[in-house]
Amino acid sequence: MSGLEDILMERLPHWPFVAGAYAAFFLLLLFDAVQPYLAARRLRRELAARLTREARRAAAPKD
Amino acid sequence: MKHWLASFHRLASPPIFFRLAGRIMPWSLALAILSGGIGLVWGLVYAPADYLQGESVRILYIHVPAAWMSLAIWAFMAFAAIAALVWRTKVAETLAMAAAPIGACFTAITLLTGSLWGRPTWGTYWVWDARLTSELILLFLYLGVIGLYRTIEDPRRAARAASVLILVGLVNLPIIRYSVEWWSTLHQPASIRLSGSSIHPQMLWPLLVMALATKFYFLWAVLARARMMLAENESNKQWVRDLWREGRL
Repeated sequence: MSGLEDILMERLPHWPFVAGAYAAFFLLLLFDAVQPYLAARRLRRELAARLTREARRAAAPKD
Repeated sequence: MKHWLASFHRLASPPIFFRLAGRIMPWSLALAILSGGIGLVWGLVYAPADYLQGESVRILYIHVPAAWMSLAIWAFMAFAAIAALVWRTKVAETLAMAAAPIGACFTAITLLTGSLWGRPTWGTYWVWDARLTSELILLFLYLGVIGLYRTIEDPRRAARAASVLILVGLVNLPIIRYSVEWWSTLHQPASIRLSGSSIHPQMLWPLLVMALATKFYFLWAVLARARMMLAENESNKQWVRDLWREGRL
């Protein structure tokens, strides 16, 4: 570690480390928590496209 | 016993699981936010600083529950993997696979927060000691399960292959747990055991509340992910199409 960091470590309280740890905790949990919502949105879009395609095919006149 | 078995079998039906999970999710999320909020304020504001570690002890209110979750989620996945391999139910396969990214997330949190705690306390962000290294291996195992599941096209075959890897990876759990006793490590031994705790109640209680919050979060997250994975894998089935038409997907 650099000498400057060692000097800062002695003089500064530990709050920057606490803040960094809590930020990492919340960012990673937030990233994890939004995944099901993104998956649901993707699935809804895919189903809408597929069902519309099927409905059009069913409605088209048969030869 | 018969009634219990019948309920268990009913739960293995994807539409029934989807509906039941949808009912449990809001409660588990509400309890996670409530207990997490209480635990955070308690740990950050009301709990005292440690006489040796100073304010950095507050990192442990997220580091320790995340570390417990990283192990507990693998154990949960192992139970689901056994159920998936023995009874071949889609719900068990899906639960095992849905838990893997959440476990990877908690393991990454454990390593990151531990590293940020280590610098002011040990004077270094990282050492290749047995506890830290075995926890890093756990992260690679989680990533291995996720990767293996995504590599094989058929989700059912993929889940079964990944279930075998989960059972093989189970051997890492006792290594992580007992690494601090088997080897001479920089990481301290467990402060909380079944026989009691060496932590002062003023610090122990916010830690336990945060541990409870992570459990409720996991319950919400695994159900949310499993519901979506089941719906995705069964998107050709009528029950998923009905849900989409009713706007409940």
